[in-house]
Amino acid sequence: MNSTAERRAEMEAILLAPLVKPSRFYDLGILIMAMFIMWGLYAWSEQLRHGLIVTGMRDQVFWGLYISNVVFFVSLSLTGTFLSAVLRITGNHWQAPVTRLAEVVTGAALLMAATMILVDMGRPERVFYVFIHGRLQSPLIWDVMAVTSYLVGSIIYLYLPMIPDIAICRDRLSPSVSPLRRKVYDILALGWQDSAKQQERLNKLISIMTVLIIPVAVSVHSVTAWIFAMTFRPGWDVTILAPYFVASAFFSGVAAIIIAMTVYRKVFKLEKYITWEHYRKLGWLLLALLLVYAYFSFAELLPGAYKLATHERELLNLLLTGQQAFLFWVSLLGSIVVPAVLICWRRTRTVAGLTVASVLITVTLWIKKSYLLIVPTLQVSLMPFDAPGRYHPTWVEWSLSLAAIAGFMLMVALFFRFFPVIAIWETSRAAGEGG
Amino acid sequence: MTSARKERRLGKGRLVEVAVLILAVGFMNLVRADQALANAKLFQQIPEGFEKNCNLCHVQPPALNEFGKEFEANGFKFPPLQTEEEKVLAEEIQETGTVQEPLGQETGGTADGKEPVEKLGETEIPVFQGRETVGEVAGGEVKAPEKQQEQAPQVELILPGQATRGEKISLQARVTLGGEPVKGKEVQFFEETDLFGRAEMKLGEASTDALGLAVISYWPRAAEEVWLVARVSGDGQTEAAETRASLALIGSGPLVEKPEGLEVPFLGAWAVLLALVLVWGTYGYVVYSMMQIRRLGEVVEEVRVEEEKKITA
Repeated sequence: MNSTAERRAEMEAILLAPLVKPSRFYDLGILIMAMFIMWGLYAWSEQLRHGLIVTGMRDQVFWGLYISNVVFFVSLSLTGTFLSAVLRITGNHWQAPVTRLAEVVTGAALLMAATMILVDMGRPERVFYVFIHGRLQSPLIWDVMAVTSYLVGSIIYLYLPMIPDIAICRDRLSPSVSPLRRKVYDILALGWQDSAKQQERLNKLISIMTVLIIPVAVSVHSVTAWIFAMTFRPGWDVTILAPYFVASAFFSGVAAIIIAMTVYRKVFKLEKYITWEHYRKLGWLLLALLLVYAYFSFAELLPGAYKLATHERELLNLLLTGQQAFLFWVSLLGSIVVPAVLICWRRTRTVAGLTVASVLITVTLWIKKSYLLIVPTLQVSLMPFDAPGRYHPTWVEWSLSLAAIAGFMLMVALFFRFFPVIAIWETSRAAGEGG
Repeated sequence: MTSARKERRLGKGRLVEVAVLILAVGFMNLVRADQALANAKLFQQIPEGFEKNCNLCHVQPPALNEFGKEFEANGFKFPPLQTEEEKVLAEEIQETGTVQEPLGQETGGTADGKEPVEKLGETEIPVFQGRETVGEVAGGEVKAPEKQQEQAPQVELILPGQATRGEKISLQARVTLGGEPVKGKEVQFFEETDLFGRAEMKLGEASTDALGLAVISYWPRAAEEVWLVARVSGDGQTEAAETRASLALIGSGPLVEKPEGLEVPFLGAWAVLLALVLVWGTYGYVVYSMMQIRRLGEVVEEVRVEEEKKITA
């Protein structure tokens, strides 16, 4: 047996082992997430029974945590597929071991974004009205079209490179898994024999999807931004919002991938395949995106602060010195200043340092680009009310938000309970070992 | 217990099974929401059919307006919800103990919760209070209202002689029973339309006050004349009734306002649809081609089997 085949066999052994014998902690994690979701479903049933009155949303601040989560999950969903597509199209192969992780993050985040829209609806059974009565002139309909297209495209794009790996699962795991699981692997493997013609067909389809998925991904984030930017509300009525959304989505997405990498590297013992080199490259990418994000954050505020048009002053007062000032400054510190130091300083430029920076970025971007994008703008009174609108999320909203995060993590965890976390076929090819 | 059994009992696969069970229990919670979906209520103090707009009580929830404060102070009961005419009537009753017209008898709500009755000679006629069923006390026994013979109310539409298209007017309907006003009767207002077939477009609904008047605001949009309908439905005590009347309109500008949007030649909704068709068409092609991978695999398998046969031969 030559060394190439040995390496391939070793890789398969390491990557397939967690699919048969996952660690107890991994399954315990799944159990805990299921409990969060159960509690969230209880909270949702309370909301459905009593109406949206059980939330902190009222007729002035009519969007809160739920729509913040939608924006956040849509942001998370960009990078996985987008990063993988851009690097594939430019002939970079270093990302091969983290591609699948990134693409699954995309799918799970998009599904949770769609779920949060349902949760935000007082009457979710009327969701089909969007399709029946929707008007093409409405940005909400554009968003429905873009998100649906991106979700379907991402699933196809995730599935295509998985076909050879599912065939490996079919061939190697058959004796040790249940007949049902064997059958599922058999169906999903599409009769893959690793023949030249099959490889040629698969490569062609992956290339088509790689080209197509990039504009679709950009459209999702632009359209989500336009839902806000098409209004006259302060803070939203800016032309910069769509590119700002795309940049910050890319930024938070890379951070999320680094977190997922660290978790799976540790839990599945993948140090050999997810190496420091991946962290180093993603770390520099994170720093570049941080600078772009910092620029957009400044460019978004300055014209409004300079002109102080009608309601802009109220919004800026709320953000800079008022009720939301603490969150605003913490979010800037946590998303720009501290991560920049952690990435640039040699002593903290480690796996742990980059993971801490990524956690900070993810949390503070949720605050800045989701919560602070929505709530303060709606707090500004466009009607002659005495004071800014009030919004205090209730236990129902917090429960459902935590359940949404648990749901996202559960989807990712369950996926990698049954499919390899690293693309064996692609990684082998990238390493020049042949298919 | 053997270690193998113990491991199976607490083992790795079991935790996932428990997780699935927990999720199933979570989803079962949603069964509780079934009835609420059909009839969402703001809060329990407001009985079914009396849900109101938030701004009835709130300036900006949870801050209360004057009515909200009064409503809260009154133990979340609705009596303060009176029209100006009702207030005048109530004050008159408080001062004189009687009402000058039309019946000159006791009326209005009572503190003990009994339904008010209006006496007409020797007969007691129940006052209709919205949807609530009003019993009639006679000889110490409560007679069920359904035993009464249903009476036909008269509905009269009160319209201005002429209205300007697009400008607000008040649509009023008076409901009377035997010539006397009926209070708390729900009146629905419709406009007769003739777009893809003749139909009624609902304009709104209102309850009658002490004078039997139900009022809604209306912005006529028709060309020259519009036919309007006022309707009350039967409720076991009274029959359903309706009336229709026409309203002449004078013009003030075009009926349809030109949209303010830009008009760019050769650019419209079709561009969005085209992009969508291109994207989904490509998806379709990719999925179709993907399915061919199985066929290609079968060909490889056939070749392999044939080669094996040759070698064996």
